[in-house]
Amino acid sequence: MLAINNLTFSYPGAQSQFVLHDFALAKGEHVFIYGPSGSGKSTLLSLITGVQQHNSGSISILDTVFSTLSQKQKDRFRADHIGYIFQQFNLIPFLSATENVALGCEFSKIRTEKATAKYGSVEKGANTLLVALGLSEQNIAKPVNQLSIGQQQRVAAARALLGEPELIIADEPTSALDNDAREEFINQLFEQANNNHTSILFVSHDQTLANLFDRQVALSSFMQEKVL
Amino acid sequence: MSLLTLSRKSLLNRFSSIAITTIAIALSITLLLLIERARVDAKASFHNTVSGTDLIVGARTGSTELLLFSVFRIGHPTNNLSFKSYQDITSKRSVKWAIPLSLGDSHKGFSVIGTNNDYFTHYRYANKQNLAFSKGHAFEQVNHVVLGSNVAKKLHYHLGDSIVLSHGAGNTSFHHHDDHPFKVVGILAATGTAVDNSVHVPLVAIDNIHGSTMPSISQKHQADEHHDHDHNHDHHDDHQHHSEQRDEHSKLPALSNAELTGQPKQISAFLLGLKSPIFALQLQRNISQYKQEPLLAIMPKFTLRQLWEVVGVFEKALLVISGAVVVIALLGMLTNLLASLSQRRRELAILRSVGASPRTIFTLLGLEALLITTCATLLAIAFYYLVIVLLANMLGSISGIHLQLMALSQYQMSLLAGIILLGTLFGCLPAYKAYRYALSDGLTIKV
Repeated sequence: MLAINNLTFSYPGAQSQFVLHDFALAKGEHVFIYGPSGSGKSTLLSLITGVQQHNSGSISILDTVFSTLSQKQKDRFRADHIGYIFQQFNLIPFLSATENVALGCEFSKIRTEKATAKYGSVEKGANTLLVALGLSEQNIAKPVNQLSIGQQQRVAAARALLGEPELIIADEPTSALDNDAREEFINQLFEQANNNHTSILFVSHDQTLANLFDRQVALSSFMQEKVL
Repeated sequence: MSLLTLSRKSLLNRFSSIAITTIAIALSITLLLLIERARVDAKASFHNTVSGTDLIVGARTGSTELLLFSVFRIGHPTNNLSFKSYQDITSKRSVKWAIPLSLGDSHKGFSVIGTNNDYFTHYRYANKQNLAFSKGHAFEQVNHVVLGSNVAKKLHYHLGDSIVLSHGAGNTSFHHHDDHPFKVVGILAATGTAVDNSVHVPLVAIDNIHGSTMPSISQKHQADEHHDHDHNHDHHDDHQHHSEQRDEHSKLPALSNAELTGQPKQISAFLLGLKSPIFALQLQRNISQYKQEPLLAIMPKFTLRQLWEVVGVFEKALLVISGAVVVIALLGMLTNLLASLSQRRRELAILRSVGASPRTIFTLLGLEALLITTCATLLAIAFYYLVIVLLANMLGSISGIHLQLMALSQYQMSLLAGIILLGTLFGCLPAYKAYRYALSDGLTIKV
């Protein structure tokens, strides 16, 4: 469902170029990409999410070729098909946990429809997912800045899952969690993702969780930075 | 949840600093609205002071001076014109009506005007409105006095009261004429012009105040009062036989307008209404070249406009200054939005991750400025009416001027629209900066 072929990219004015050889992700597959900091992780993710425009080669998700889309269409595509979990600071502080989750459907009609069809409404879906990921009703009612980091990351996961996007990108979402909590978080995320056959692209510099995934790939095996 | 809700919640999250910014803008807009209102009211009451009068005639002096003392009751006539000239000019064919005015006396700080009943029939103000009596009626006897609404209110005079008029325009006068009391027979409705602050007496009585002549008729009318004057003016005598009893207190027949006018030597000025305004220019020229004595005729509309051009400059300056205050307050909002932006880059990255386009981010930030200025504007309208209500109560009890609660004028509305537009335009700067952040940061969270 995700395919990258002979892609090149350079930041405007930069003296180096990123070259990405073949990389592919199957539907429902959970892939761990190992990338130490400075290896071009952020660049890879901004190319996959369509925030940055590559120079040559191709990248396609769900048979949609990114180079044919306008910036606006890419933003819409991201809203419709990709859930994203940040390393930390995932939540907008002035919104409730439920509202933060509902934000995942805010810019996507498709995801709003899917969530409504499955749960009755976006809000109900948000709360159901939060409970499924282990948040109590009391925690859901709290202002989000009073939640623990682990709870905040679960809210972020619920947002990425709501409306069943085909791909979830997780950018080291467990780095701020302790060991036991990490595994629990990953397992809960997988459980929900498997329900919808959602693919997961998990990027981290920490290999302790790697064996939980279907496949492990080192970023350096398909992505290099070359000085021009 | 719409973008608007998102903006609103984001603003509420920064409530205290946004509230202060909003209040500052609201106060500045209130000031602007009030000054605009005051400006319009001042201009209106200025231009409304006299209307329907084609010419004002006085002894030769400055045209502004003539206007000021005859209409605004400010200052004193330096020269009078002879009553003969008045009779001569008013007998011309183009003249429809004339109001003689004799000024220069005062009563407890209010100017005393000698005139006749034509004043109450022909004097017009505002949109060609006639004077109206809130109580009582016009002059019927020589010792009758009609008060402007403000005079009655401030001095607590009522119909039937006896008052004493003094000679001279000062507030305190040592030369009191206790022997010539006047009776209040009429109180005029408020006009918002100098008429409200005037004490009107029959022209013939002005000479009585000065103690020069006293028509015998008044002496006989006031027999029941402590009168011991012995002037004789027998040309009024035939009227005392009238059996009409219109004034139930004195039970004497009403005098004709000519009798109330009398035969004074001089008057201060007179107002002329012409049969057609096209005669005004011709008559003005004729009066300026009047052979018997140097006279001046002015067209009040024209002189009012000239005078306003001088006075109005201050009003405009005030409006410009208050406009500048609004711009400064909006700049305060700009500072606030720009300062908060760097703390909000995380928020922007999250919105980008769920699919918000850079343009959406721009709109979101622009909406915030629009929301702030709109709230400030609504708040300002509320403040404005609050001030008007408070001020109306206060002014009403002090001066008798009634500030009306009217809808915002079209100009005020366009000012408000301009402010909202300007505020939103200002908001485009932080919005554009956020747009740049959205493009450069992408999904990287920069804290």
